[in-house]
Amino acid sequence: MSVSLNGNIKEGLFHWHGLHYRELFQPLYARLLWQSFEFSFVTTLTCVLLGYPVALALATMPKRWKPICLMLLLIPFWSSSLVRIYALLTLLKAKGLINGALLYLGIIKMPLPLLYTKVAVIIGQVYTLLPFMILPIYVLLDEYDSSWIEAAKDLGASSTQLFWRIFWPYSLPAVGSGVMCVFLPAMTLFYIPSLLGDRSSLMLGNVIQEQIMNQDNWPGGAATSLLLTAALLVFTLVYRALFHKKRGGRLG
Amino acid sequence: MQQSIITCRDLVWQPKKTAFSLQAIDLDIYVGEFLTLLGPSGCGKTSLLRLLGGLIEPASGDLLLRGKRINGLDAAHRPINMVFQNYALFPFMSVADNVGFALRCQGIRGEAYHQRISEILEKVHLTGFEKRYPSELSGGQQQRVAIARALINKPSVLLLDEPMSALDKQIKRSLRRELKSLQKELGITFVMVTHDQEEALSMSDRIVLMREGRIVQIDTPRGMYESPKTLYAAQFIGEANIFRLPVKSVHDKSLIVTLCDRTFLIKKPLKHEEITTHVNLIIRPEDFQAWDSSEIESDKLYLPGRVESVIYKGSTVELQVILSDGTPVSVTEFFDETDETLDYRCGESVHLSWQAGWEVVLNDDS
Repeated sequence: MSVSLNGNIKEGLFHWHGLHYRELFQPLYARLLWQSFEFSFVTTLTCVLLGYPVALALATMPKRWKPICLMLLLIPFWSSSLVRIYALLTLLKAKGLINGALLYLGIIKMPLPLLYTKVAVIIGQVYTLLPFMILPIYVLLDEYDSSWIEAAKDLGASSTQLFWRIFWPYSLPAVGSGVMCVFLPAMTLFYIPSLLGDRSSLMLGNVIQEQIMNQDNWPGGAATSLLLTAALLVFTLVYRALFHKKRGGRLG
Repeated sequence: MQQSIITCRDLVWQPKKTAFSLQAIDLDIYVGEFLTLLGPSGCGKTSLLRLLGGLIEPASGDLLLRGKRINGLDAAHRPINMVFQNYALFPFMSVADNVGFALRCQGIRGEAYHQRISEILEKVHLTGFEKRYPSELSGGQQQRVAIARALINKPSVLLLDEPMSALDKQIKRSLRRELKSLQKELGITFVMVTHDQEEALSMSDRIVLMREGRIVQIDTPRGMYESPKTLYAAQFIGEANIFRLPVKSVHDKSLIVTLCDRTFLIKKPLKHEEITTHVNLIIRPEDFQAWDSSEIESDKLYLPGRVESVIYKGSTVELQVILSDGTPVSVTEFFDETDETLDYRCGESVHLSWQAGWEVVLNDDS
């Protein structure tokens, strides 16, 4: 990645482009990196808040409903993610379903500007990535031992304590995996900001796309990709430090 | 009269959707005793334990703790704690965190918190294991963590649901002794569920034998073994030879039955009006003695038979004998001073006798 393929044969097939790395130190890139981080953070947090209750409900519901609900969760994701983002367009646009319904119910007088905003980008990212949060948490929670609940209640735990002292710490490693599965793609998804966002909601992924696809600036794109990769590596290391503390395995 | 800590009066439990139920449970659990609920799977012993613990609620009847009605009181508010089958330890918590769980739920923190944990860990001989995780412990150690966790609130009664079922056969024996001595040391009432009659006999002060949701008999281990009240009890606890015999005649203090064409006079433990056409004669294998023809003068008082199989077990020899009328009988002979050479061969003819009065006479189970 530090070496890029250049179209100019005279310069040789491979060439070092130190200039492009120097460009990365411009404040613009720092701002874009920070903005990508902000978007991804909000997306991930929303996914935790929405996904955890869904995973808990899935794990604790009667056995015969589980396959049906899991299917309902997964069926939309059999279609292309790009197609689903276009479907969101029809929901969010000024004369779309959401605004139409709100206008019809008289909750708003004017259509809300939903599309081409930061909120639309967040909605798109959450919608695309939510299953990656739900599934790891569900898989772990599904294996909880129902006798833990009885033991906890026998020892005097209230329902709130049952959640915060048993379910939450038990599922924390899965939440960690979910965070990784959502945060990392959220940092790099470029088609959601370009379809649902405006110029102010650009992320590093969009810059890479712009550099490579439109400006034919492959070395620049490569350099920006490396910046993104380095940022993700730092994030992964922080995650490892937080979640890979020594903890007991499961009972055999 | 011993003081009861828990009393069940006509307790009924009727779960939805299943035919199973607990019926007419009358039981007094005494202060400081080791009580065992014994029975085959599906007899309701675990359900009864869960009723005591407050994990399920009775449909009717009274559940009293020191004379106070505790029906409807949830598990958290009963001074009764439970050691679950397979222990239900929280695998993501250290030993200390598991044991201190109940304290944290009450908001106990700081010095008092750690003090209580180390006190209780010392009692179950697990000092130094605070930071370990359940997966790093042996089955026996996990059991003690579960006991410590249940004891941290100083309950009046400890309930144990099949505490030995998750353990290897070899360590079961030593852990039985350990659990029994822990109970004596703590002076807390233990109520244990088991399906293992040997476990029940060796650990309990009293055994509650259950069958199909009802209590069949409540007795000491010795009472249960030596004077079973039903054929079910006789068969479930220990091995028993049961002979269903027609009654020839009934006398004032005895009755006469025939077995292998021989007449036997049996002291009459049943009331006169209880005696019908048949009685069941129960003789434990170890109460039989096997003689060879040279050892007896007349075979009139002996049951003639043929040795079918011989199993040598070190301190005992177990014989399978087929009586002359075709009935198979188990006989256990001990090596002792009177008979040092227990030498039996298959196919050999033997004559069986039993110590008069050691037999148990019962009617058919209703």
